[in-house]
Amino acid sequence: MKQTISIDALRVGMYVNLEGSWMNHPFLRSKFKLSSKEQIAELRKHGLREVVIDLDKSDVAAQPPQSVSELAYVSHNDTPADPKEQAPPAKWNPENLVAPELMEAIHDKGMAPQQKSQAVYHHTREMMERLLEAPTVENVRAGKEAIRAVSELVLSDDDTANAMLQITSHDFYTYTHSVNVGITSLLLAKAMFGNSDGHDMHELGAGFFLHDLGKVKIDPEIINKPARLTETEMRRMRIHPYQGYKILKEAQVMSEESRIIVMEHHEQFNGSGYPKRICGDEIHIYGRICCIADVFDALTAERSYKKAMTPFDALTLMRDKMQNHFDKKLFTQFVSLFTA
Amino acid sequence: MKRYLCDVCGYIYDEAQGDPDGGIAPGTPWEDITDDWVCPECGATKAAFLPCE
Repeated sequence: MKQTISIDALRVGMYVNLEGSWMNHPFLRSKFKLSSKEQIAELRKHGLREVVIDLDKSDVAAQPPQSVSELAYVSHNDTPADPKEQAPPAKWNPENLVAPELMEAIHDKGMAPQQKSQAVYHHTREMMERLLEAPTVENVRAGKEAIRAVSELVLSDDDTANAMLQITSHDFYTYTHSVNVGITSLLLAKAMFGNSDGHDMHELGAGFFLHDLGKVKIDPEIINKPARLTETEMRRMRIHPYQGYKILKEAQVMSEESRIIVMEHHEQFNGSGYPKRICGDEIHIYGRICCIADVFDALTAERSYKKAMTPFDALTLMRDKMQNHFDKKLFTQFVSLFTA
Repeated sequence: MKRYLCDVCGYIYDEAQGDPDGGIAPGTPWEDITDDWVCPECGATKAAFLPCE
């Protein structure tokens, strides 16, 4: 018997049938039994949201979809799972988290801005993907050091930074979004603060890039849901700023000011944001900066339930329909990043 | 016995369990907790809590 199931319900041991899928999947055969979690990740990477499985040829039965009310509020990764499902031992560690090519590209003085921006963007996303997959204290520390180097490049090399702003791509993934928001927030901070001594820009960069770290604590069924979230799911989602703040505090890797970015990036100027519902100057200026970049990237990204907007349309919408959400002065400066 | 959820951090106040470390005995109804009590996880005030659906 064949059954179509969500990619989130796929398990090792299931026999998948990819014939007729709209995508060019990366596997040699269209019908095969899943033998590793990496294969599932690969399918997900290629944008597949639903898969046909053949129950008769599968080792495991499809589970009925869990209702959201039964999901743990915070995802507990230490819950014992079926041995067949257990993830392999930590694949990413401080030794292999950051590709050597990232540092080489950053420090290569001869590389053209276009080429450099592409190499740095690609490898930073790759590093962020690994970090979100294995957000251990050691990896967060190593990742933060790499982000400092990327921040230094964005702050010191205008040509490469502007090229990066042009090539930002959009997909469903938190790691791509994290890098996009990291770059645009940092450029806005740079435009606002210039070279004034009062701000540790590299430390700030780490906060911007890691603003969504807390999403690792949210149930993946909610993170990957290919539709708008219900109010109940939104309530669960809204704890990610605090959870990210907590991870960074426990890892003792960033200054309090920088962690505040993670905590306050969903607060809105008129007090209608979350989690603390603070408003105006109560929101740290770093949080206000990240909020603008975060909304802009969400609007310009494609989702399964909405098309991507052009940067121009996104900025127009933010100006006309969301003006109370943002610090006006910061927003004006943000617009000039794209029009200058 | 009802449960209330902190919208800031996800902590759940369970009336059956109370919050002994915060001076709230097991079995204490939500209404009986004074307004100066804060979330033991993140420090949010009672206003940040909503009933668990």
